[in-house]
Amino acid sequence: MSATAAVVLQATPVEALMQGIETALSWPVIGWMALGLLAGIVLGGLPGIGSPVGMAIVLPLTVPLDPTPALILLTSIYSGAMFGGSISAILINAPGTESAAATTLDGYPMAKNGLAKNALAIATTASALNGFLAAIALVIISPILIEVVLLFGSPEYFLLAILGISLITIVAEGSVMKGIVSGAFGFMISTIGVAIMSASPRFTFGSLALYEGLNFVAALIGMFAFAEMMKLAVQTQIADEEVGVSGSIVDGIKTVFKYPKTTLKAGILGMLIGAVPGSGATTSTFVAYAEEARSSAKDGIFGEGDPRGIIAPEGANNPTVSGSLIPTLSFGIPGSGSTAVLLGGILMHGLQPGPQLFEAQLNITYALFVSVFLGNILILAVGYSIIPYASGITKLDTDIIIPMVVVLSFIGAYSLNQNWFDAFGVLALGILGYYMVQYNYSVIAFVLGIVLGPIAEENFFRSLQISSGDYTIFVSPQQPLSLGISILIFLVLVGPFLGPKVRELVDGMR
Amino acid sequence: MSRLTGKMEKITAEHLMLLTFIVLGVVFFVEPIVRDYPSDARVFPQMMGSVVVAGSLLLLLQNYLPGPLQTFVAESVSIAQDVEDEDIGIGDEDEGDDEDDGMTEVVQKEQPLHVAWGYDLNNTIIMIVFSTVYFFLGWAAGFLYVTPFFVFAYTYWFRVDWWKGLLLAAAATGIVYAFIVFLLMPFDEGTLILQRGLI
Repeated sequence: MSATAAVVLQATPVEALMQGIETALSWPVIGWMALGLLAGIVLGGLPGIGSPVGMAIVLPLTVPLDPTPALILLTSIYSGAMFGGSISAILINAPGTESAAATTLDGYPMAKNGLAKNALAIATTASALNGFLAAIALVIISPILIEVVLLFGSPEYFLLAILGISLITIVAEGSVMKGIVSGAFGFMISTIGVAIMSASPRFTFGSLALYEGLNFVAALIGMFAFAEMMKLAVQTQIADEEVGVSGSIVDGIKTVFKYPKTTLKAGILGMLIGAVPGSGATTSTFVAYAEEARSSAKDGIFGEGDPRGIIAPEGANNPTVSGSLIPTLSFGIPGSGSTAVLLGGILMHGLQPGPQLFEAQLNITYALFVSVFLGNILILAVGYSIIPYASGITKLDTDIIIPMVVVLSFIGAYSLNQNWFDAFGVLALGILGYYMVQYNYSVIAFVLGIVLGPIAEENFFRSLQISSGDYTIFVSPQQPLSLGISILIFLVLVGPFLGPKVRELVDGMR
Repeated sequence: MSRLTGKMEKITAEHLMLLTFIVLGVVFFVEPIVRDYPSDARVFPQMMGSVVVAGSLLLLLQNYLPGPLQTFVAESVSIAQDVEDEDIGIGDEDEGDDEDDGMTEVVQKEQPLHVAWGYDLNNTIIMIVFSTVYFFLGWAAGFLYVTPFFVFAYTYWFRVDWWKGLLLAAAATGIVYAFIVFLLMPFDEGTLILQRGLI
């Protein structure tokens, strides 16, 4: 390679970063970011709504936008909701998002002790500070990520889709078998329509409306927005108008800096757990809380309003956003409902997770990273400003939200392809999603199956083309990466059952 | 007869869901054979159909499976659940108890119409009925005209203040109108009536 070529190759990521910064700071992109954050904070603050619902409703509305502002809007809703979830968790003991559930443990007791403002300021500061640091870390580690992503080929991408679903099955509630069935059902549904490799119509039963298959965005809307509304319909209480917000914002901010170790540890845990395919902020916040409760057990009053009980989960949740972007953008494996919707947005706008996002479209990836960075600064500004009025969010009656979400779900899904089948899919999959949740079937595994189905099928066939139809390509020692991922899938699925038996055997031998 | 009735009563929505999975899985396996799909269009859906059928059958028959297999099929191994319940011990706390501790001042919403009329129906069922009727009427006559009625009727049913319901209905209609104007969506046209639209 000539020296000039080497210089060009080295300079490209820097140029892409500069382009990304320029894009993220340009108008109206920064406006979309602010709008997304505000919407995310409000949606995250509403118990039962959360980021996946908000992102799923907004997804079809981003069709007219360019990919970069569309993805920035979605990511901003995600970041905003991560913080917003803490508002209702602290004030009314009802986490707006699942990831804020750990915050209720000490946030609510603190609010009860007349320190609601302190608790909200702690949540804002820890969330934004760590989110800010994690976004910087994301930019720093991206060159390594690029190298890793480029090692993967078709067999590995197919296996990664399977690994993603496998990991989700052991993170989600319910048995592994339920997760496998959910994921396989999603893959199966994704094959409706014209086949990828041979242009033959499949399972259309003569209906032209089915030729394009079920739009995965409609599936996301059905599973996350409509099904959530069904759950919300049974909620019979709303917050009273007299939820008090007292205490001191400044003292809350100071508290975070009083515990730098707790804050940093939570951020690192959040980012690392977020980067594991299949695990989202719900896991990271509980792990961070558990770790803090363990390491500070001597002087802690956890469960009674210990500020570290807020710093740990809130300090972990926003870094999880950055961490979860790693598997989502590099391998197309989301860790949560929100990243599944984000992945839907990436695909809907014609982008492919994987090498392209780290080569030709690196500027988009960097713009996204920079927007996460800027978003956390905005969270800080918006968060402190809304603390005195935060209780207003908790007063919103869910019965006025439900019909609006239903309207947006149907018209949004229809607008994707002007296909009534997609709008009907929202209704049908919404009902299915509701019952799947009721019986602990992983909705995320199902959605992942639908979203990743075409990519998985294409990579499956490309792999078979490479190997001339030999299925051992997925476990061949000559393909060490594929073999490694296959072993990992086996361990993930069978490990939890074999582990205790092996331990018993070892103990018996001793 | 009574044994049959007893068994029928044990059928849950999960059983029906699994049966649906099995039927669909069989369709996805058999249809490519019947219609003679090319191999590159056939293998993947058949493979997934097989997994769905086998997995759903195992779940359906889990109570009759031998020990180790039953453990694999029925037992939850959620890592997150372990963290949430054991490490922190939140499972020991009854979060619902906090409602009467003075801070969480929540108000019970006014009873929806069906409850006031003495029908003990789940709100979710009512929501599904409303949404289904809305979808089919919107499809038949155009969403622009059906939306205000749906939003107002829903909010009225669930005892939201009538003026709030009216405002929401207007807002929702405005959103649908914006879709017609800016995204050129034919929401002013119905499939069965008003086929040419009014706008």
